[in-house]
Amino acid sequence: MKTKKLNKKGALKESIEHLENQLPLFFKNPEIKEQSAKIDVSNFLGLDEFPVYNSKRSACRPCYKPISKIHFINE
Amino acid sequence: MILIISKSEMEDTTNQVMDWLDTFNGDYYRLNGEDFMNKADIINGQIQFESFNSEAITVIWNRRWSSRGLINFENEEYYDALGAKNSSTLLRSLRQENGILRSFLHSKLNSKVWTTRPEKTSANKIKNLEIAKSCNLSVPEYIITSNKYKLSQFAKKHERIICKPISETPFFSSSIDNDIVETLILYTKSFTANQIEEEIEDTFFKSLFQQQIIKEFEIRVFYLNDTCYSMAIFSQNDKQTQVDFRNYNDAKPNRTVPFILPKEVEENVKKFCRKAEYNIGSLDLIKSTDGKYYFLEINPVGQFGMVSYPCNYNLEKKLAKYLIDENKKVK
Repeated sequence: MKTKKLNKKGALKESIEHLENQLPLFFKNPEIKEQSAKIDVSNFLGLDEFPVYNSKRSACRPCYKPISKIHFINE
Repeated sequence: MILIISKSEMEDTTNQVMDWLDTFNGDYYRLNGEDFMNKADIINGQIQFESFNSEAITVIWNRRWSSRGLINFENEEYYDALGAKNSSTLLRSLRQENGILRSFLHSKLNSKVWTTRPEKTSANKIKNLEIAKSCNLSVPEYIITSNKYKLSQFAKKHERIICKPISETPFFSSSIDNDIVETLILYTKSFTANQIEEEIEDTFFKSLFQQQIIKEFEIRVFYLNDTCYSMAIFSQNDKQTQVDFRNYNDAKPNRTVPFILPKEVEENVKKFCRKAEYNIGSLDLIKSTDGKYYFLEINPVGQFGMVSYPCNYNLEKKLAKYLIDENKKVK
């Protein structure tokens, strides 16, 4: 199995800054947000995928439940 | 039959509208862009895919197409090896191949009723500002230029100006760890006249600038079939969301409440949507501190979950009803 390609921290911002003069001005001084790509689901029920519209007629794939339908275990 | 053109992942709004269509026994078919591209055949001008039948379709909710990019990121190393120039050529070629197939599907459905016609899914901000003006909506003054002198004059006139994309905001992200992603925040940028003088080169890539309107609050209007559903967003007191509320403050979200537009503004919004040929859309407006209502832009495919839930408008149900009514009318 192939491993995910990882980049150096800050490389994205640095590259855009190098190209800044060739880009529209909304690219100027970009901010970077660091986010976790992993969702911690240990406190939630209902984040499983569910094939609601997997009928023959619909070409829909499973989709996560809307946030309003997530319930805390303690509730 | 109602046709829903959508995408296969992370698209819960489509599912919720389908819930209502089921409740009302609506006759519908969902076609996801990914499935059309990967599984449909076109044989002698006929689209063959499951039970898809273009003849039976009367009305189309043009919602989404696909969330999958053209690059399979498992092959990213090969794109790196190709280099920027060849990768860009390859992507352009793939985009053209896909674009022609998609446009063939659209041509087969050309005579149907569309919520958003295919040529309208990507808004022309400049054209829309001009249409809005002709419908008596106030719009911020703007300049599109690559010239520092002209920009500087414009900035001095308005003290503070903003810069935003002429088309859609691009999204950049990069994995720096197996579980950590860096994303680039490229929302609306604000500049003072002094910053323009000191930080900007004499010429630059042509960009769109608008006078910065000092806002009392922002308004998101969902327009559907000649009705406006509005929400006020109190984004002005938070530095993070002051210039662009989409730079969400997750720790302390902006307060959002249902809002009724003044009659005259609402009529002008409707006039704009009719003139620009949108049956559906999400409009961004600002109520300025001088009491005026400014039109900023419209998203023609309409993000409406963010208005529907906080304001209890139940827009998913209203949209389902609209599609069913249109289907009956055409039948």
